[in-house]
Amino acid sequence: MSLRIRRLSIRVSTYGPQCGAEIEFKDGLNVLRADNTSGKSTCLQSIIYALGLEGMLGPRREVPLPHAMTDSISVNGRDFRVQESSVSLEFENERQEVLTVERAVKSSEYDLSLIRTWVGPHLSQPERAFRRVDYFVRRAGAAQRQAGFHFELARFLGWNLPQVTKMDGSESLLYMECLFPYLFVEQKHGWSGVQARIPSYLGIRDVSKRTAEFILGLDALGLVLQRQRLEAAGYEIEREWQEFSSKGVASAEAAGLVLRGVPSRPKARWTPEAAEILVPTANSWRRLDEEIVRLGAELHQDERTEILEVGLASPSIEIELQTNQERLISLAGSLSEVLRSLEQTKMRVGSLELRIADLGHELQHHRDAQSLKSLGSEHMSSAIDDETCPTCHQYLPDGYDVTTNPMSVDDNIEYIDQELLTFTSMRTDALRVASSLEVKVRAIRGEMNRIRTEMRAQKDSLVSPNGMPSVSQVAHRFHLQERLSVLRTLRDDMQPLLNTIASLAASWETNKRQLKELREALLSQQDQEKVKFLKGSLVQQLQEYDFRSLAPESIDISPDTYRPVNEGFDLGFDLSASDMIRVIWAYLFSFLEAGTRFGTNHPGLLIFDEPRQQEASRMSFAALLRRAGTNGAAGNQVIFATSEELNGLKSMLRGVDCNLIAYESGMKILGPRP
Amino acid sequence: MSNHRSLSNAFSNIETSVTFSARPAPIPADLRVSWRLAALVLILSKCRAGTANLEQLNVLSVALRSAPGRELLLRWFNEGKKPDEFLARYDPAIRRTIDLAVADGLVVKKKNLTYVLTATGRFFSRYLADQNGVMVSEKQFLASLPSNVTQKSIRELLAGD
Repeated sequence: MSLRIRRLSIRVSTYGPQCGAEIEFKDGLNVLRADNTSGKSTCLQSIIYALGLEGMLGPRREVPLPHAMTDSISVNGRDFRVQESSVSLEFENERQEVLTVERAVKSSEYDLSLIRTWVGPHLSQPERAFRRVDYFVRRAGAAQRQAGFHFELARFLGWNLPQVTKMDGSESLLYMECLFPYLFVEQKHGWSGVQARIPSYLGIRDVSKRTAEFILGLDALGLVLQRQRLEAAGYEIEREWQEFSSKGVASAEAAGLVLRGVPSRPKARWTPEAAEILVPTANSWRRLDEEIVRLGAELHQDERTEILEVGLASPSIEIELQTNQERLISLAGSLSEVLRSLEQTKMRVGSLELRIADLGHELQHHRDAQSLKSLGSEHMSSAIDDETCPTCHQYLPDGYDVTTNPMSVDDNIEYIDQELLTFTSMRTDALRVASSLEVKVRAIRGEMNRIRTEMRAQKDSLVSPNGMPSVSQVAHRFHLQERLSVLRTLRDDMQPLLNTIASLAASWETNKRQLKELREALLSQQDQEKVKFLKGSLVQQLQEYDFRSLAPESIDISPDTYRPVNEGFDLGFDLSASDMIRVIWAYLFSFLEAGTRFGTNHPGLLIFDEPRQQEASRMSFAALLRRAGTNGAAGNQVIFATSEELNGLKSMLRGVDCNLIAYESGMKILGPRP
Repeated sequence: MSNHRSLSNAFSNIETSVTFSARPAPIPADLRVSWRLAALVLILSKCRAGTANLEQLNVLSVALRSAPGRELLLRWFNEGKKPDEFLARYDPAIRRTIDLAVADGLVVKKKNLTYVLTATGRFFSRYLADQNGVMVSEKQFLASLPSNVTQKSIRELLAGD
């Protein structure tokens, strides 16, 4: 991947003179020398603007170019209002394809989010006609949609932008605005720290790490995304599991049954055999399969007996009526026992909840006491601070009224937490028991209602004309058939549900295993080499630039952020300002050099706007220029814009291969053009 | 009986001595000195002229400690007492808390058996009031009481007994 800036053209139209600038950049090192406020930064920022990357400078949506391009420009002491202005940029990629882009800065004709392009060197060879394509920028979709400029720019650079996770959990492309700070350090804020200006407002998680991984072309990047996807898949499995298990429990309850053995959270290696569906009986519980068999047998038996005419059936009906009466009484007894248990269980739940609430308050009080201890000791109370009596100075522990050996506040908090855990589990148990008992109550009541209905039918039978079929027998048989049908349907419905849950369990297991494997994966061999090279280049440069605050060899590259660290801490606190500048030079050049040495995603371009050499020393700057020259010779393009005094600059550049674009002292870059 | 004898025989045959270590006991947070002093200072700062007698301190201290107590006292001030409601008027720890506060110079005891916040005590109470995460419910409760709870208002409230 490479990006070579070939030509920059700035046009400013006024009612008076037409102004602008035209700068040609060559391969290798280019140094643009001009006074401060002569328009150097404007030129470099125009490059960023032309590429639609002003989002890397800040979240504000204004054009980052100065008044001279948007309001009024001063020519030979006179001010002229700006009518229209635009920037154009011609650049080349690795395959020697050339693209020219133009973007309006102020225009009545063109929208500022429009980027007009020519597929070819339109600035160098304006007489030729090249294919024209328009793109948009600074709107949603500029990186994803084909009509978006960043989509095209990524393709042009050969960048396959990865999907990354944002802070809110969604995914998006790794924006170019986050990557270009490795290539361009702008004057105002870019020098305030290493990776100071990678935009965080775009909401990408771990953005420094992701961008470093991408620029270096680390294998690790792919792994990170894989892990994030697996984690998201894990959550989805969990959600589905809970959905299905609640559905199962609810269906069972609706049929007056209890489903047991399905954990509320996913478990690996769970099979449908672990689930149990239980039917409440008068005194206990029976498994669904057994109940279906039992009912089936009862029905079969019933169907073998004829439905008798009332007259013939009367004696047996009377006996059945009597039996039903007795069953009703016995069921009523069972019901009242179950109700009593239920009542007791609910009371237990109630008192557990009181205790839990109390513990919650106790915990809060203790947290307050913890805070107060640190506050109060600032304010003069020796009783709080030293645990001594202010009068007689004897040992006076907290709670001295009741004990001489109290727990410390921290221990007490832990103690309360433990109690909370215990009581909360007890409450969960009790709630579970209560809901099983409620199912039982419903079942018993249901059975009692059924028996009453049957008794009514039997009484009706006894007083109906002799020739009629016994209603009660019919009703009884009908009830059996109904109940059997309900239970069979439930069993049949439950089976696929349980199978689904079992397959979720298998997915869960796979997911966890894959995550574990990923977690254990270390940096690949090549990744390790790249990071080692990064460190080596960084340390070597710091020695060349005369870095003093620390021993350069003690600086390392953090494996978590890929930033330079010393003994585990980000550099910055213990460095002098000039050494901070040196670190920024070295850090960004080390990425550039890693690109030359290995194949990475670095486009081989580095632009420094005012490298702050006045804060470092002349010797350091000279060393920097030499290093830049070497990099230029190696095939990269480096552009420095500096206000360094011309003669001094020339002497520092002696022996360095460099394209020096010099504006004399007092000259402004943006000036009248023919 | 025989168990006891055989146990004591067994123990007397052991050569090493048995040691007992006292494990620290958990205590309610409102017995901790820091909490008590803070509560006392906050209560006094709410009373008129930073002054209160023992009756006021007992009642307010008991009410302050628990959510039901706070709610009850507030309701009494706003709506009046119901016949079957009562609030304990005695906080067993209050006297010792007052003693500590006096020794620390936060509170001063006057001749007519009232207690007043000193300048240090007032400073402490203002400092506490400013800390946002500490004793939030207690501070809210005190803020919802009618301004400047007086001895008279407390006495009237309890008079219905």
